[in-house]
Amino acid sequence: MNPGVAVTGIGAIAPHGDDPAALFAALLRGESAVRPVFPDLPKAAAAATVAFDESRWFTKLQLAGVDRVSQLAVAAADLALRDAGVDTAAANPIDPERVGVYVGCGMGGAAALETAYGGGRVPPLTIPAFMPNAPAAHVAMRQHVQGPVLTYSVACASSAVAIAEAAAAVQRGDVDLAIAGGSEALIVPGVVLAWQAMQTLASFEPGAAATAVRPFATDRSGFALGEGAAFVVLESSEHARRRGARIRATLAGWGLSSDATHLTKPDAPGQARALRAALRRADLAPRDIGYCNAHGTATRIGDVVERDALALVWGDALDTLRVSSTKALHGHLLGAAGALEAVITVLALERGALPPNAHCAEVDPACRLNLVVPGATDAPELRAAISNSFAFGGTNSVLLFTRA
Amino acid sequence: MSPPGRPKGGYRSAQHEGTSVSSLQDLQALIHEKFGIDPAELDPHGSMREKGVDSLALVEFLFAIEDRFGISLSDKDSNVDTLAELAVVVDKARAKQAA
Repeated sequence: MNPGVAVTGIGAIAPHGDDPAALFAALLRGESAVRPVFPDLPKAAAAATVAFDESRWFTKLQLAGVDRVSQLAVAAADLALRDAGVDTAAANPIDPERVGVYVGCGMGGAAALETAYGGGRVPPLTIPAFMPNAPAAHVAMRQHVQGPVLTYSVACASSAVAIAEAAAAVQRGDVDLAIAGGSEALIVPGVVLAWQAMQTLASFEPGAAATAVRPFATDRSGFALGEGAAFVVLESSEHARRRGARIRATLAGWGLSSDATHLTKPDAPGQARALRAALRRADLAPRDIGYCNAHGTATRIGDVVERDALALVWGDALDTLRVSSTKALHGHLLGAAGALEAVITVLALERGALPPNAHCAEVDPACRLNLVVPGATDAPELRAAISNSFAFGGTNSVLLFTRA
Repeated sequence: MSPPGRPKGGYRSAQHEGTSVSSLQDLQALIHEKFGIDPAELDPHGSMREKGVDSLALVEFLFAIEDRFGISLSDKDSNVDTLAELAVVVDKARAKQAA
C-alpha cells in the first residue's frame, strides 16, 4: 500500500477568516461569505472577499510591488508553516535546499494589471506584481526556501495540481518538506465583467447574494468568485515523526487526468480517470471513501457531469459517498480553490464532520447524490475523503486524504 | 549609523541653502508616507539599500517622486543610494521644470 504523504500543517486566508477552526465551524453552520460587490457595474455581481490586514505580514516597504495575490500567499503559507511547527528562520532550520514551494495560481496579480489599464501612468513594478509565479517567489523569499519553487497555472485545478505535484516530489525524495497550495485575488471590476460575459456566474435577486450559489440544485445558475489563499505542509511520515510533528491527515492518493475533448466543457470519463487514479494510488476502493468535497461550481452542465463521473467510478456504491460543494459558501477561489477545499477536507477528517451542501432546497434529478444536508453534518466514522478540482482546459485533479 | 556631527533626520543639501529649499524634506516626508521609513531612521547620507530599499522599491519610489512633483527622472537616477543625492537630482529636475 502506498504510504502517502503526511499533512502536518494547514493555513488559509479565506473569506471565512484565517482561523481553520472558526472557518470550519462557519461552514458547518452553513454561513455564506458571498456578498454583493461593485454596485456600479451594469449587472449585479457578488463575490466572497477576504478581510485581510496586510500589516500583520508586511511593512509598507515590503509591500512595494507586491500584489494582493502574493500578499495572501505569503500569509497563508506562513500560517501553514506555523501550524506545522516549522520555523524557517530558526537556528537549525530544515535544509533550505530540501524544501520546495508548489503554488497554484490561475491569473496572477489582477489588481496590478487592472491598475495598468486604468488610464493613469503605469506603475513600474506592474510586471513583477502581475506575473503568476510572484506568489511562489514571495513565499520562497519569506521562508528562505532554496529548493524547487514552482507555479502551476491550471485554471480551477491549479492548487490541487500543485499539491499533487508536491506530494509526488516528497514521495520521490526530491524534497524533505513541501509548502503547497494556491492563491487567487482577482475580485476587480474588469475580471468580474469577463466572468459575467462567460455566463458562468450565478444570478441573484437583490438582497439574495448570500444564497446565489446553489450546487446540485434544480435552480442553480453558476458560481460566485472568491479570493484567498490556502496552503498545506507535506512531508514523509518518517520525516514528520523524526521532528515530532503532529500529523493532521495523510494525503494517501492523488490523480491527474486530462479530458482532451473541449476547452471549457467538462467530461465525465476524463474526471473519472482522475478519480480512479487517486483511488489506485491510495490502494482504496470507492466504498472506502466517506466524503467528497465536490468541484461543484453550480453551473448547469458542470454539476451533472461531476455527478456522472462519480457514478461511473462508484457505481452501486454511489449512495455510500456523502457529497457537498463548499463553493456555495466561500465562492470559487479558482487557482486557490483546490487548496482551500483540501484544507476543508483535512478538517472534515479530523473533526468527523462534513460541511453541508448549502442552498439546495430541491436537488436536480440529474445530480442525484448523497448530499450532505444542513443539520446532519456528523460523520464520526469518516476515514477517507476526496477533494475534486476540474479545470477549464480539461485538467482534472483529485486529492485523496485519509485520517491520520 | 549616522556620521558624527550630522543631525539625524531633517537636513538640507548645502548646495541649495540660501537659494532655494532643498527637496530633501519633501523626500523624507514621501518615503515616510510611502514606505513607513521615519526621517529619524534614515540618515540622508546613509545608504537607502541598507535600510531595505532594494532596487525595485527604489524604482517605485522614483515613480512616486515623479508623480508628486510632476517631474521626469532619468534611468540613471536609479543609481543613487542616499536621500541627499536624490534630493540634488530632484532639485535640478524641479529647477529645470520651473525654468
